[in-house]
Amino acid sequence: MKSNTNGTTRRSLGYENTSQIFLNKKYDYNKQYCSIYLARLQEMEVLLMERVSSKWGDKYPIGKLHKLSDENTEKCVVIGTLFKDQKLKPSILKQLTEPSVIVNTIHFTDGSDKLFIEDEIQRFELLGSIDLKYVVTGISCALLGTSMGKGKFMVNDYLFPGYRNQVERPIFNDSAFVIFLSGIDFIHHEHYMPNLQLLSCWISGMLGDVDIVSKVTRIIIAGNSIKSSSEKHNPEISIITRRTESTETIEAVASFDKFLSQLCQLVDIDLMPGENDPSNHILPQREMHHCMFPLSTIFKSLHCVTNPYSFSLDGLKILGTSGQPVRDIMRYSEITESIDAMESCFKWSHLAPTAPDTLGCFPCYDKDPFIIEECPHVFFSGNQKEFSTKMILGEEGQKVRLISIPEFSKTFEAAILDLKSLECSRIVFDKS
Amino acid sequence: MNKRKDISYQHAAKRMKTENFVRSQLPSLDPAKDTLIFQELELDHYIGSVHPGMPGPQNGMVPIIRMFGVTKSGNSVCCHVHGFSPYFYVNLPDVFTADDLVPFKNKLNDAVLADQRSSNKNDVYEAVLMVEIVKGKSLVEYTGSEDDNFAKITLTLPKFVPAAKRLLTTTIVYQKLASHTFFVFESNVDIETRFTVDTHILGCCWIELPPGKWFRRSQNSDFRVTSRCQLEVDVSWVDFVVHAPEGEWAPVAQFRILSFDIECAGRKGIFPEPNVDPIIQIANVVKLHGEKDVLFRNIFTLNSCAPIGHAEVYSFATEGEMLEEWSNFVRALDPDIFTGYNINNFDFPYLIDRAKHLKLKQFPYLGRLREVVSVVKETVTQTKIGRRSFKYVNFEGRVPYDMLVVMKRDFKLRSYTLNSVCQEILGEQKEDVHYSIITDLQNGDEQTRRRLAVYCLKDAELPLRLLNTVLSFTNDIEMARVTGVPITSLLTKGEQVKVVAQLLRHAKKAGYFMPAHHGAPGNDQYEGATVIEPIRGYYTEPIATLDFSSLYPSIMIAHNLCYTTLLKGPEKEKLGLTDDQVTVTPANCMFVKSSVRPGLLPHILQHLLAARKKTKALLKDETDPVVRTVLNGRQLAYKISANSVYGFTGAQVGKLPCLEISGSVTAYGRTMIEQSKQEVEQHYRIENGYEADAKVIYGDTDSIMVNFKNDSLAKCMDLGREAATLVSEKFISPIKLEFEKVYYPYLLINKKRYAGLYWTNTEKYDKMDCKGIETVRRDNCTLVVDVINTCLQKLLIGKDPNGAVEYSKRVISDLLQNNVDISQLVITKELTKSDYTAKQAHVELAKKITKRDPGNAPKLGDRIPYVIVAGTKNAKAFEKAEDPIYVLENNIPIDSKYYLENQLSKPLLRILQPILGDNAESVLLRGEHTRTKTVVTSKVGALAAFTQKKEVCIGCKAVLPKGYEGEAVCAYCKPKESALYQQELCHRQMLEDRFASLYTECQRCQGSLFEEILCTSRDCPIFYIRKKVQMELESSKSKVARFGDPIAELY
Repeated sequence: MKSNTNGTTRRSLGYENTSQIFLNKKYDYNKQYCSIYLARLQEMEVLLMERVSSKWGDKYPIGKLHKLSDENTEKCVVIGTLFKDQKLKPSILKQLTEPSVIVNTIHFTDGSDKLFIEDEIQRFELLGSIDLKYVVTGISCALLGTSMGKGKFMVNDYLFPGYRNQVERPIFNDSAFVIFLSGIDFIHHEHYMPNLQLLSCWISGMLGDVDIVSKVTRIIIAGNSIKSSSEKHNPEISIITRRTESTETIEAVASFDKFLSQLCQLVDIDLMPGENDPSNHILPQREMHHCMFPLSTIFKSLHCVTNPYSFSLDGLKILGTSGQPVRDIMRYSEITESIDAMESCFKWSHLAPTAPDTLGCFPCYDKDPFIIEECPHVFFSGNQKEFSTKMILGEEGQKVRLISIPEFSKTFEAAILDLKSLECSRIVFDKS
Repeated sequence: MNKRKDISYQHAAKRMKTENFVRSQLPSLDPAKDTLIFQELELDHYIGSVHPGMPGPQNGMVPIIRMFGVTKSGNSVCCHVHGFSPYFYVNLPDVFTADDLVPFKNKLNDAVLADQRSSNKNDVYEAVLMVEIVKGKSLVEYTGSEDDNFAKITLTLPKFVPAAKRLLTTTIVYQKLASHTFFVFESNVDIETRFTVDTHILGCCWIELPPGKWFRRSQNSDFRVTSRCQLEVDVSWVDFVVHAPEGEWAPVAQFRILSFDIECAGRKGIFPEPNVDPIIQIANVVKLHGEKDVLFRNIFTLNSCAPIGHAEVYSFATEGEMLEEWSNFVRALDPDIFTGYNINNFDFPYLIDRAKHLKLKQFPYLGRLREVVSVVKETVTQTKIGRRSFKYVNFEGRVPYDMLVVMKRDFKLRSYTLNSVCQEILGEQKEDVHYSIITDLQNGDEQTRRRLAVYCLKDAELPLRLLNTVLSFTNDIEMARVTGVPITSLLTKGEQVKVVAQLLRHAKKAGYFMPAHHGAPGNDQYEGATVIEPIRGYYTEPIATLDFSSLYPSIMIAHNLCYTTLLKGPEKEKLGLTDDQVTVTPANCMFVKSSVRPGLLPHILQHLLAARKKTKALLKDETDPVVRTVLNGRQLAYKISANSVYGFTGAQVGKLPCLEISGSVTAYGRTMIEQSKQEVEQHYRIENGYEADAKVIYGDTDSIMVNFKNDSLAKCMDLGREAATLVSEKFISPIKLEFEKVYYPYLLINKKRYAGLYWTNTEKYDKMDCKGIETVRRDNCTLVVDVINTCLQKLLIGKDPNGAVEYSKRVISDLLQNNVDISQLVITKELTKSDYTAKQAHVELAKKITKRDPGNAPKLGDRIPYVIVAGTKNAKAFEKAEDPIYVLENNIPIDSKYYLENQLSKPLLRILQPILGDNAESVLLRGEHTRTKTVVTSKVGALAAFTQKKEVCIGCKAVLPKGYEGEAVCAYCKPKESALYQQELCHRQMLEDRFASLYTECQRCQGSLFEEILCTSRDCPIFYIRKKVQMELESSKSKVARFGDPIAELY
């Protein structure tokens, strides 16, 4: 039990940060992206193999793509990674050769999109019953079908790695709440300072609701605390001209530090970096540096964490990101609801399939850190259009609470989760 | 690398399955009952024995025409045409009568035989077959309307033509004509042209052999099969029907096109030599002309190669087996067209020389004749630029259609590497594997060889895609049909043959004979086209452009300018022609009017222009896209042909130059441009009720640009249309001034240098049109091209002259501060020979690289990319060239002054002068923005050895005091630490972003997620940036690391 300045006592739970996998310090930029795809497929292949026999039996041989040829047209199973060829995909090459053409689209699907499957050596175009609208590049899968020759494969059925094992959900005797926030966008905080104050007042228990407030054990701030959108940069003659950070941003960081230092006095805060926050830009994002938060750092209750972020509270596993992977999936597919994209991640057993293709990530060498190794109990994603939540059910009874966290700066909303019941709802911090 | 998994591949050497690609079975054909129809593609002649039952000489050796073609059902045909003999004409005096024919023939025959015997001992009994008196006229000069007597001298063999001609003109063959001056006509027409003209065969037209008129060859017929075609036949030259390529005969047969590419395992630093370096792979892609999809792909590899999904793989243990099998494959496939990139000068000669080195006897039989081997012939041509040698390989019956030749012929590009051509034409980059890596891949395992094979297949497929995109083959077929020349000569010969073929066809019909001209370059010059002195400036009002449509052809038609109408010297008086029967051109030449004699060239031109009009009308109504491309190709061919007639008359080394014609044409053009200018400026005046006085600001060759001084685009278009009609009335039909477009805005820099936004409707501009502005100069770095393009866009599309100036200043400032990507500064030149007399940058650099790393020494023919780096004060430019990669790795400073002064300033000043006026130079090159310069310290060089690196504060750059070396900032900067950290982070975020998008782009380009990127295409803008980003990231990483771990040690 820990005591607050104004006397509200809070329950504290056994907290463990389980994000080591996102913390590799030895990133080598001389490596290329082929390694991460290789590592991904190697790990996924094992999972898929198991599921192939349980779904389709042993009737069909499991073939390598390069063994398929014009004469080998028997029905078989192939395992590989999907690649979606999309002509609207932004291309740095096009940007370089036609610098004047400014791409304003944010959704990149088109009728001409083509789907391919690829393994270590071969790529085949896919036809038949796999709907490319609802998949993206980077998903590993097993396909049942036949080679049509000339590099085309007719799909009859397909299989994704599916949900991973889940440890049993710990039983909480009493309610305990976790608050999820994202997109505070502090650079514009003057527009909604009252709402932010409302939030800290509420947490402090000054607004009543002591019943709930006293049971709030943590606040997770899932990204874009400083900025929700990137700054517009004038096109430069070189695409790698040195960029400078705007004074507004630097000031926003300082004032966010102030705000944060108030919150830290009330409750434990897990601060994740987001797409536009001062951390590294490609995934996984490292913790934001303490030197930027001189006021808040002195509080033990501030935890600068990674994105993606994995932790447990009294054994309850929580995993989530600041939202980039989910947003990217929706950009390159016809999946329109973030909650659906999040559910798909469990079917694909992957946090960020579009990385590295359209979502920047480190050239990880021998391990793909984004594979979901263990099914969490709660999965969240920050910086989404609106709040939504869903309890999803895996084939072996896995139950996952999905939380799509809205951008605070646009909705003044946060999500609140009861660890006991895994019920989740929204709280609105709006005076009106 | 742990890349490969343990997968074992079994390798049964696969047998080639010819049934997948051989031509379809020949339907049964009975020469007595069936008609044989085929489309002719190639045509040549050989000397063979007489075929009984054919016209012409009945014994001895005779010329036989051989046609290769394809039937509608896709079967290949070889057709021998018998009985056609070569001939030429000479003029005859009146004293020569029919009684002289036989004695003259005998005398000439004896003379030719005697002449030939002295050179070789052939048993030829007959040289002159026939002499006839024919009526006709010389093509050149009007000498009255009476026909004269000519002798048509027919010979048994083509080689007797020059002999007979020489004997007639230089010796006395026939006493009675001792004092006669012989003028020789059409002796310089080769037998193939002669034959196609006389039989009305056009390039790629359908030929019908009626039943009972043709004979089929077989293994046991008297005339044995000589070719690999499915059907080989004999026919008399008078017994077949030629169908003009119109209506039901318009379609093109499905020619088989084989595109291929070879890879050699070269040694480091040496250009592959066929006597040493093996061929390791040959990729083949086959397509039928007119089909959308590729028929199939396969690849021949030396040593095992893992399977490839979209292509058959044939692996061989020895190179000899592979080459022999490939040659078998070519014969079984029986392609009509070979294509590829640089196959004429590299792939084919290499294959043939390599096969010779390996003593593969069967290999070089790649053509369609069983007994003829393909050999490499080298021809050296002297051009203005220097000696160039071209290689040519014969493939009787097949057409080598090298896309490199096509690209060089049809497009003006900065560079013609397959890579840059793909970028320009297809808008995509091509993975480029360095040749030293090729050898490594070959020496690896079956997986690395597979990697190579996929790459090789792509190189074989790209030429086909180019062919499909630029439609050059479709257009060439139409050109062959319009001009009547075989398709091969469109690539191997110049413009002239096309005009000659047409001239001969029409001359024959009209009873003219073409003099055999001896092309000695004359010194006569005629004045070229006129250019109205431009009023330079940046025009923000619409400028209407009025064009004379087909100016030169219309002038020739309107004024009846032709060889046949040319009047020389006193002929006018001699013939009693009145002034109104004669035109005196502004060049002071005389031509008779069409009332006296309609000219032949005007007739040809009218025919071409009418045909073009007709084709365009058809094109308008056609909906089938395939037919549309064909029709469009044809109307283009008509246009080009019409325009090339003028050039033909002016080509002094040509077959029949006539400067009176070409000089008169340009003279008319000049006066017309002047006249149009006056008409427009006189009519569109305030006093005539117009809002402003119009001004012609520029005019060139066949167009004038009018400033009506009206801000409305629509109004300007109306005025333009009106003016065109108004001026057209002043000229003789068919000369017509047309309103074509409006430039709005318009930047007029100088003669033949301008740019404008091109409008043909008031809704949306069509394009940005630039003429003569540095975008294609090959010795410019891409920075110049990019900057000029962006400036033009800002000026024309954005109508923002200040923006353009500001942008230019920013670029100059970036350049001086070393902020420009090295890829944009790279200049590329080909290493053509090792010793240049004048020192050249790329040659000096090649020497430097050789010294540094002999294994990677550039070889002849390599394109050497370089940048100019800052050197010692008086270093010459050629000493300052350096390898861009070396520059990147060692952080060598760029000579920004060189780039500013020698590359950027001139073209930039040129386009900005109209806006900034005379002080452009001081504004751009000496303004405030040029004050800051960044000095880079090199890792190599004299000083580098003496500098010692000390950690400095990231904020104020002060050397950190003892005990503080581990810190990022000094005590003074500590309060700013957060800001400094964020600045560094901001840069790093951008770099990371670039890193991700660059490497994924390359993955997409190479078409694989799982393969490492090996591409070293220096033509690709990504290549250097990729390297630069990696280096910057490493340095940024260590800088960020100095701030310490993100998570604070607990206080």
